[in-house]
Amino acid sequence: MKTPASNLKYIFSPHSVCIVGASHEPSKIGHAILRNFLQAGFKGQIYPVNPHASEILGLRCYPSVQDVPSPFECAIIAIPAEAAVESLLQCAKKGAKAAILISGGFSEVGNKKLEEKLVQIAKKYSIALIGPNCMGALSVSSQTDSVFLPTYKLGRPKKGEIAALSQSGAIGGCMLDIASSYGIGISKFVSYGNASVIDESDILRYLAGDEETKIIVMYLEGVKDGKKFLQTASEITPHKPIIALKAGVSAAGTAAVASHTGSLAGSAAAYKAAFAQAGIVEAHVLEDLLNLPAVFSLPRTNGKRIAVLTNGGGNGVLAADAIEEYNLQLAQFSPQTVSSLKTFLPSYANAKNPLDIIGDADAARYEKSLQLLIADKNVDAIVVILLFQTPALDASVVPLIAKAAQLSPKPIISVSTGGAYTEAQKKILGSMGVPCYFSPSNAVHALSKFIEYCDRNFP
Amino acid sequence: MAPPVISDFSLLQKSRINCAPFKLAKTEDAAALAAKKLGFPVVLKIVSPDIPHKTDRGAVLLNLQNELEVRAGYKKVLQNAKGARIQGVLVQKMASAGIEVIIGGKRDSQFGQLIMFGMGGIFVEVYKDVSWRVCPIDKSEAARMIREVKGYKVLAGARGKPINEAALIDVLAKVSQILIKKNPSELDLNPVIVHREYCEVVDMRMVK
Repeated sequence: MKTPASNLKYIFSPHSVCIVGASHEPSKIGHAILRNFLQAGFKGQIYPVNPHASEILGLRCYPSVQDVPSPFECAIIAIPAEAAVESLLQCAKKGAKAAILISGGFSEVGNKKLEEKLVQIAKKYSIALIGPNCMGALSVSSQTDSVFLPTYKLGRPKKGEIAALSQSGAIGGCMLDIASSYGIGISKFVSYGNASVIDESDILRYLAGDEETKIIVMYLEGVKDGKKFLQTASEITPHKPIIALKAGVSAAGTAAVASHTGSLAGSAAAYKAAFAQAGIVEAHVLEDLLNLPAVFSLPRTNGKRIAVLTNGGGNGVLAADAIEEYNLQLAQFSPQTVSSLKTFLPSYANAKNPLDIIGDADAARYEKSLQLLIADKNVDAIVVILLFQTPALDASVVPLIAKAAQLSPKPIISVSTGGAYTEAQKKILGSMGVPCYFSPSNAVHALSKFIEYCDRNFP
Repeated sequence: MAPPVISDFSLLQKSRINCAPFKLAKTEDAAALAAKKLGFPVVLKIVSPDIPHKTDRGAVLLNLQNELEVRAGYKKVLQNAKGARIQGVLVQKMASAGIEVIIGGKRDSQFGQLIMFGMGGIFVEVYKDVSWRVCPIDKSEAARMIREVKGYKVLAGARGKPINEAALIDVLAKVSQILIKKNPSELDLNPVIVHREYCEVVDMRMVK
């Protein structure tokens, strides 16, 4: 038997969509959604519905869902709650397989009965219903974009391996915008709001089977079904890492959650327990959701011996501190590495870890040193600190590091702390597959989470 | 009205969880006889659904060395528990010193029964050095719970010989089963004393 969840593919790759509440008014959500579908280059049929318009953005507009001339796979509904329920029923009768209900005004404001009507319709017609009270979904490869925020204000990320799901639309929007600005690629995105029919576990299961997705990142305030979530996530994490931020862990936060997405938060201890058991990588702050995913695309290791390569002494010391703080070890270089380093390092440099190749290091010295660390059997992972403020180091080091990292069987991450010039290099490093962090502790923290994940799943 | 508090070691014994040897006495003579059979020193504890925190009410007496002390103690704990419903006085063999840990559980609205492990005494009160899991847990998950707490170094032998970790893991897995079966709102095994050879539950309370 078909279930709502079995139709989730029509959320992410529909051949035809009906936008209920499409509008001429650029300030209206229904306008932004239609415009975004057009801008994304959606290849399928689009049917705007609005009783007060005959044409919007060059597309023929229909007065009601019944008037749409053909069946469609996915409905995006952005009209007030009461009318939205009726509209969902019409879409169902028209044969819609999936629907995204953007509008709020349901259980999150105490209107549980109205939400129950949605659930009944969706279950009866096996509609994969996302929402209500959500911000839409995005699939880069199928040019599907129902996120209702205008693209000139919220950049859309390029295609990548990370899927993001967010119970909160606002947090989801921030994640997308930052990802787009830093060149972080996204496979799919969905903001799922009240999770009335399709819940977080259904989406996780769909993403588990999605070949484009290698890493899953999620923001959640509560789960619909604790046991189902634990079971689903436990099955997924050995194959695909899940990085999750649970909000509402304090008394004040829990109260805020109740009026936001209407979920029962459950206790903070329970989530901590469930995350630990399911092998979910726990994010503690929003930055973690943006900082952690990149390391999970690197070559796997469960070794804890870290080498640090730097042109700044103090930054190397901070890295050493972070390595100890996050239960990793500073690698002891092999005698062979030490003697090879001595052949080209200046006499005033120490061939010890953290390896400070001194403020006059240029790109060539970086590359030679890095190659030795990659070859050293006592080293499991490498943190490369690049301070671009020195006269000797310039942008030419970036492709050298990136190339070495691409060929390396060991994870290599980078740290670069600085202003505008540095920021530009960081973005290039990131887009070339070398995660680049603001500080040594950010970098080592991310690396430690990755090594912990590998240790659990690939001991 | 507060839910009843149950202090029932037989619940643990049925699951073959090692408890400090005890007998329930309903008279002074029975208490004295029980103490002799168990061997001195002993502990007396009031058993009452109305007294969840026995120590606060002076309803626990430790380290009683002989029959005289037991008889006097019996009268004293009853006196201190005046007004409460009394099911009897538990006479328990005084546990020998070891490392104190706690094992607990509670019902969660989203995940059902949770199980908790932590280092006892000051570690749990001040440092909240505990780990949690959703029930049921198997032995490998129980092992991860134990290793997750900061105090694990103490258990692993930082101050002396390591404890019998397998015995502790076994208790955790069994408590997880009890939590699933009884579905209490709270369960506390506190303290559980762990030694090099074995571990034993010294006190327990369950809230329905």
